[in-house]
Amino acid sequence: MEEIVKIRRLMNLHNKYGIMGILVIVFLKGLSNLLLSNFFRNNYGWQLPYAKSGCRIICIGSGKNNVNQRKKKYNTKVAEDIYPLV
Amino acid sequence: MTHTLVGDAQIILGLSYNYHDSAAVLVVEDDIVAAAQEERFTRRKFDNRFPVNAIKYCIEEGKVRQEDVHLIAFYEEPHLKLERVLETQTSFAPLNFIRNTKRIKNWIDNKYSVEDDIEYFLPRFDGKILFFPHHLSHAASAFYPSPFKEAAILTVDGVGEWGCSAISTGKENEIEMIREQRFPHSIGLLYSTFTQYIGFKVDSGEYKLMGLAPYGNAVYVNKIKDNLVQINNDGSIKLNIEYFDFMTGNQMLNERFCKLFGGKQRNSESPITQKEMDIACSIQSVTEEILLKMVKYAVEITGIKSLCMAGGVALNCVANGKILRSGFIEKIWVQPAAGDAGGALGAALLAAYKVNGIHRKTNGIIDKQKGSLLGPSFSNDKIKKLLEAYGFVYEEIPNEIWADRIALLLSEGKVVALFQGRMEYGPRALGCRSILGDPRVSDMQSKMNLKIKFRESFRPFAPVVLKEKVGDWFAMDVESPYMLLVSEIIADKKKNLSVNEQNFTGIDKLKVVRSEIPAVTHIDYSARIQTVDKNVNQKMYAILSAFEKLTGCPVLINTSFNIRGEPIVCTPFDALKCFMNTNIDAFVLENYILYKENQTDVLKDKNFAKGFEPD
Repeated sequence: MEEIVKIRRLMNLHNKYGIMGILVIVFLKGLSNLLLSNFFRNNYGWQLPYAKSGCRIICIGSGKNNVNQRKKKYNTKVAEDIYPLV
Repeated sequence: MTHTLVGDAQIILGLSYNYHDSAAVLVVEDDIVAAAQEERFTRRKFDNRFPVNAIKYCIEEGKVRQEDVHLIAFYEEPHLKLERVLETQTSFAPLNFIRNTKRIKNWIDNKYSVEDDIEYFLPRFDGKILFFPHHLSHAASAFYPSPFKEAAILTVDGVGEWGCSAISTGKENEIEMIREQRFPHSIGLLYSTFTQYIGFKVDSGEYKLMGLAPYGNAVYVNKIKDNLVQINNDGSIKLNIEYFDFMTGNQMLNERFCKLFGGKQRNSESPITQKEMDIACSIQSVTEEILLKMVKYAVEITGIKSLCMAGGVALNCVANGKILRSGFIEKIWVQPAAGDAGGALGAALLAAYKVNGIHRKTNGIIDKQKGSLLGPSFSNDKIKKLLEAYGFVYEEIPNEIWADRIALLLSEGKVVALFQGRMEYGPRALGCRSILGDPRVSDMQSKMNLKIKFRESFRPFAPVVLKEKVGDWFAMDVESPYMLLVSEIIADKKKNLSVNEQNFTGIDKLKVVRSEIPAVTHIDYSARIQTVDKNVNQKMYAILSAFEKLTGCPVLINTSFNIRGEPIVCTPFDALKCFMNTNIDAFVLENYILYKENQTDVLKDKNFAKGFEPD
């Protein structure tokens, strides 16, 4: 089982610089696709799996994320709130 | 709450959410203890929000607490999905990227950070979170609960991270993905594009498109193959993306697509014409051709003739029936929660078998899905209290005559709603949250469609039949416990049509009585069959047996207990509201029965049907 906790720590995507980094990398990758050939026109047929048959593991107990920092809008209730099961 | 689990049994919570059909699943060791879709609790069809209510139910059913959960398994990999979203937009740079910047930001803010959601909604959870690839989760949901020791696995849906369809192999504990087709070349997205064009809701109305197909003729097949999709012999496809808008826009199709089919998409409330029927028939035919080629290729490269299927496209039961009869495979098992809800189960089972290393055992005959009856149940005591609180007029039926009483009502042509046992996991009602009717009554289909379900008259109903009697009525000799296989009525039960009847077209075909059970015979003599095993759903089996004793017919109509656009009922309260606002004649809740004629106006709401958006 492939465990890539370290990748997450190296590229902490909760860090705004991490997100900017990813955006730049993917933008450049996309741009190169665009310039060299149209990626989506040629990306067809059966291929070897893009993602390996493994999983990524995060230990939530260590290095907790700051929810507020994400400015996420939660529109559902927390698990203690009840939907009446009767 | 008591913690009844002993020792260090591994408790795993599987989750799927963010796109459509959120769900939670609780697995202890490798036992599926509970599973439910969030929509059933929130009463919002295909609710895609964090499944907070489904989680609450699962941990209560398992008699555990948040802090007891060792692992949370998520059904896809947000990193890879983010990559696909960004790469798609940048490939259409610069204009579309600029246009969609806000959308990308919203995606990152709202859908990317699963661990934050878990931390917020489950603050006392302190274990590990595992992320599995989308199609691997689907593959696991299909293979691990199946009765097969080894199988070829075909997973087909709209899109996961990058993959749109995948071929995997399953053997004992191991699942290995060996091929995949990537975005945007997706059979699921192709089918959804036509769903939108026909005027049905995307990610919801696809099964209506399938039901409409037999009314039409496949006259557009060549147009589809010449312009929209290239189909290779190995089942791989190439979409002509010039005709689609799902890459960067807000909808599936564009003007060029509409022009190809001679006009704008149908408005959802306008009449369905022969053109829509012909288009539905054509895309269904193309889909079947692609799936059959995919299955043939999957068997060729794996060398295995037992097939497991999952992914939204695996709910296309017409195609599934054809795959079974194709001769390419010997056995088939389709995950009943084949859509994204099933991904939660797959991810949880991957954690159990691949991460925790539990040895998978199977006897080759019985699956581990438990009839997909994995949701909440309610005791007679709770139900009685509720009935009394609202002042309903009810009667108690002793167990000895329970099934006979229901069968008698059905034989008199009454429509009976049934609420018993645990709620189904997946989109099909399998006899625990069902509306039943007599399939021998010729106008029962239109009556149930128009007066009870408030939906289009063309929609077919499915038969439920005693497992042992399926071959006496249908051209099928295998089990179909999850209503996922379509087969024809046998010749003996068909009726000869007059020349006039044979010439009917379009919706008029509905007027023809085609068999001894016309209400469940579609216009092409097909039926989406559910077989009932005595050991899996005893009460449904008892009703069918009693109905057969009275009428000689071991078949009933089984449709989900809801109206158009409403999620299947979950609680007695949901069920009572649905009962009081439809024309159901009688309602059986466990051991209590209510007759509509005896009730007052309690829970009646003239806007009930308007509260649910049509699909």
